[in-house]
Amino acid sequence: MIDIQLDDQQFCWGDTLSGQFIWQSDNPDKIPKSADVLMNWFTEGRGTGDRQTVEKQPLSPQKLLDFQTRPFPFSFTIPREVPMTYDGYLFRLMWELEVKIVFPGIFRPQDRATCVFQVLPYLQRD
Amino acid sequence: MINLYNAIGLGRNPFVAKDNLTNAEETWLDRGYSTAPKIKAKQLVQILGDKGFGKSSHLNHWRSPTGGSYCYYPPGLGRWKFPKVEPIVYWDEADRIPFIFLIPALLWASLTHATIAAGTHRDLSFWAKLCGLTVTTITLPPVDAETLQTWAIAEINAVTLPGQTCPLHLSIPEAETIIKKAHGSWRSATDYLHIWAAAIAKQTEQNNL
Repeated sequence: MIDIQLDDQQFCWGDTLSGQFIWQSDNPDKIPKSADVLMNWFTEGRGTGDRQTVEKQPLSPQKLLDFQTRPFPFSFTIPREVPMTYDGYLFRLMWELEVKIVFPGIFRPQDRATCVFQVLPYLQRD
Repeated sequence: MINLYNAIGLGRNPFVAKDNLTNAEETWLDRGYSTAPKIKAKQLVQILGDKGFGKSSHLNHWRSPTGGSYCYYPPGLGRWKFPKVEPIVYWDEADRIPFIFLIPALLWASLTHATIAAGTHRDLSFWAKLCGLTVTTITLPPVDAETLQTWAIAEINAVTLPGQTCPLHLSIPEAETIIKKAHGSWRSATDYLHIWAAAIAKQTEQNNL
């Protein structure tokens, strides 16, 4: 089980997206083969969907095991000139932070969790 | 709100195209033609209907328990390929199959006692019977208001968040308006339903601000 916490939920181009996740394995004998934290955008609605990974940060499986049940921090910079979050009548474009842990096996079993955030043209900050 | 559909108790818009989603579960509505054709029955089962009336949906639904190859025939050069013939096989947009391929394929299906399930805009029964196949023709009608309402309710229930009540309810007059705008097409009606749900979610979020 993976629990993701973001320090904020709304960002502009150039902002730092930071947070942490906690991974609790349901089987202590399951050793991860690989793990990544990914920053993605995707579309959802009528018509063919699109999905892109903007940045991917590989994690060391050994480090992940050492951090098990403890907060594992991550940080990304929102690039410039990426699409903005959009909620339309026929489709929407959404951003998500994804943590994916892959285990050995023919069918590549995995633990996966996502957390949605927004990329906006501007923010009213207090 | 990060996900505006949460404002109306939903995880997402209920009418998202299913190929957008991972792990999408199909909400199947029985219109009287849900049973898959018998395999290896020396037959053509053809589904006739206008664009967006549900031909491909029925082929995919039947294929789920039976297996068999799915052959889609696009417009243009992509249609120049010999149709697969198997104990059961699914041809989509079969009216686009070039004639020089269609007749040998139907003959081969007859010789091997295959079943062909075809979605088509044109009646292929004359050629299929000439090649020795039994033909069953299903003509899909345009969607009606009650059917659309029933399906919409099922789709809304499927994405309602646990413990929440969703205010979305498609009335019969609304369903009739959508069907009229969509000219009876399921696909177009679902586009309008997506717009309808998005508008209500946006309005609710605005009212809550």
